[in-house]
Amino acid sequence: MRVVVAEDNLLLREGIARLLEASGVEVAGLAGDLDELLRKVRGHKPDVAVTDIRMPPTHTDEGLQAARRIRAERPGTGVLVLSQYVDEDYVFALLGEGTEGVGYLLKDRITDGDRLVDAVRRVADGESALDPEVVSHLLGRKRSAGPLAELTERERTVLEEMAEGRSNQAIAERLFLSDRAVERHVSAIFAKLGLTATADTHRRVLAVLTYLRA
Amino acid sequence: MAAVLMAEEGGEAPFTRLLGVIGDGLGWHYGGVWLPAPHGLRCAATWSAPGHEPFAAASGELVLALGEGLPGRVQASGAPAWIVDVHADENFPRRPVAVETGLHAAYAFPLLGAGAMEFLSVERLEPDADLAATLASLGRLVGQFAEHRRAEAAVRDSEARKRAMLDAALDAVITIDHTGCIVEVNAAAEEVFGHPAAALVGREMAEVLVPPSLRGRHRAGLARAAAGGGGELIGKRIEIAALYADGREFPVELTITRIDVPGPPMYTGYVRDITDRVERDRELRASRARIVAAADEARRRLERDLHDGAQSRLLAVGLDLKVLQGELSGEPARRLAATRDELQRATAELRELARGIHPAVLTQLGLLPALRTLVRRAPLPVWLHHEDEGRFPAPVESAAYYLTAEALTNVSRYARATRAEVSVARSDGALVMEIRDDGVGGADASSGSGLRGIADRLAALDGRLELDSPPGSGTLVRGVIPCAS
Repeated sequence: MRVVVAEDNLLLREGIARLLEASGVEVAGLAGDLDELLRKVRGHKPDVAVTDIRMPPTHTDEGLQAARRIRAERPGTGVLVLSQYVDEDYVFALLGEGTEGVGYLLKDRITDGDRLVDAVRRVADGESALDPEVVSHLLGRKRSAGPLAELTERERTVLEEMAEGRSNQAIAERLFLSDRAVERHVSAIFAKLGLTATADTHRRVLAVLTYLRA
Repeated sequence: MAAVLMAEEGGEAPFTRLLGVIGDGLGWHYGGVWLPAPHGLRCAATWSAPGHEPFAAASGELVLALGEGLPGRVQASGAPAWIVDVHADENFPRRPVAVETGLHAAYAFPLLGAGAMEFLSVERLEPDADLAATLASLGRLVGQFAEHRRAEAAVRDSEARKRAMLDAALDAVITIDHTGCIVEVNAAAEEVFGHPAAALVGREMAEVLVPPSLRGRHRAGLARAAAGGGGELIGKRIEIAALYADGREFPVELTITRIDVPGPPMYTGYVRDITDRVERDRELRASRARIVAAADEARRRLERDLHDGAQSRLLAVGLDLKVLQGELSGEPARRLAATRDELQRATAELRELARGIHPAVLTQLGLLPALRTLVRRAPLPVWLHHEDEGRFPAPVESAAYYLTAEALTNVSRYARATRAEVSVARSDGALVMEIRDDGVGGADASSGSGLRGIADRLAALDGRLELDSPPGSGTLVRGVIPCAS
């Protein structure tokens, strides 16, 4: 698996590159701003572009712009965006143009376990990889009594996994459940939330997140 | 005699002429009027036939005590007194002079109201009842006249005193009639408004002292008052704009009182030029806002420096240690894992510290996203209510954020609450933050510096902090911050 890493902070950029290489991921190129990132992606044709959201020139949404342009020019290239904190608008902008092969991870968390490498792999595989912090951020809004309060403990956990972009199979593995058990929970969740059930992992990520945000 | 009395004349001259008329008429040779003075009577006026001037002069300089001399005894008894020959009288201080000038008989009668009138003649005369009767009624008439003159003098004195007080006042005092015409101004009015006093009297006040934009309101108010309504401004101190002679407007403090006189009322306004005070206030508020803005900017810079500097370094170190760990095994790997844990903790602490100094999400995304994070991290359930995603000016959002952070800290530390609610609303161009909890109440803004500091920060933005925390009933912290936008 080959990646290009874009981050304007030199220390972090080197650190991320070293970490990925130590985990067996080839770092084909490094970039410090949006233009350099796009150039390196065109040149090296990586499987995934790992990029900070805020970079020169404007330090606002370069990561988003990169995601848009890379996926337009080279569909099938995954984009994993790194952010300092949860920005709901960016999350939904990112997912709005397609939930396949896209990820959003908090920078604070990249030293936790194998989170970074795991996210890169999932994005390379065409899945969505959302930081759990994003999900709990959205879940945290819906404190008032509503359909969410009707979910069981187990259903809530499955919901969070779904929101992070995991497939039924992945959820089953993580929660030590059978595939069928997971399917049952998913159906129950969708029924309780009043959402149209969809087997498509990608679409349901967006559906669940949109529900949580509303 | 009536003609003399009726003639309007100042001073004691009427008395002198009166004495002359009576004295000549009677054929006597000296007349004197005595009026009350402290401790007795003083000679207010004299008349003498030619040759008797010395006696008049001596009388003029005399002050008699009650009961002393002829006038004194008349005043004391309230009844006329007739002396056949003053040379033989024991109670006549002026006897030596009378002897010298050859005056013998004397008659004095009380003036109604106080005082006495006396006449002396060169002849020795027996009491004459008719004369006495005539002079008695004359005494009453003259007494009334003297009383009137005294009252007039008192009024003139008090008028003069009042005038002196008005002119000594530093504030302008302006009186207008019910049609709005200036009736009277004091000396300070010239200083305050730049018009000579004489140029103001008789002019319509609205035309000359009121700024064009306020004239309509002023005239309407007067009309309302004339129709029996109005009066809302009477007795209240208001700040308003006034017009200087050169056409510029300046701020004043104004109090209006109504003078009830027979007929339509008049109004008096007391006007103080507060240009200096307004300027001072403006500068004070501006400097306060500058201080808060400077402090906020310093915090933002500190957070940025921490993020870009120490925090990034630690993150990079963490990444390197992770790589290193992969290359080790056994005991060294375990020790390294422990080191990494410590590093994680240090990084987390630093992150918390930086967020407490200034959360980056507040600057970059605004108040609501920052509040969502704050609320989510609270140790108890907190509901967040808001109407829309609209933004507010940066200093306002900062203040609202720190207010909520402080309030929630207090809730988690002291309130023993089960839940809290934060609401963000717009009202009359102001941001209204409310943080409610269902805890034990009894919060006090004066103790502890947290809320005090927040209250100061809100005040620097012309906002205010309200705390409603009855013991046992939960707490409501409310911040109202005006927004210029």
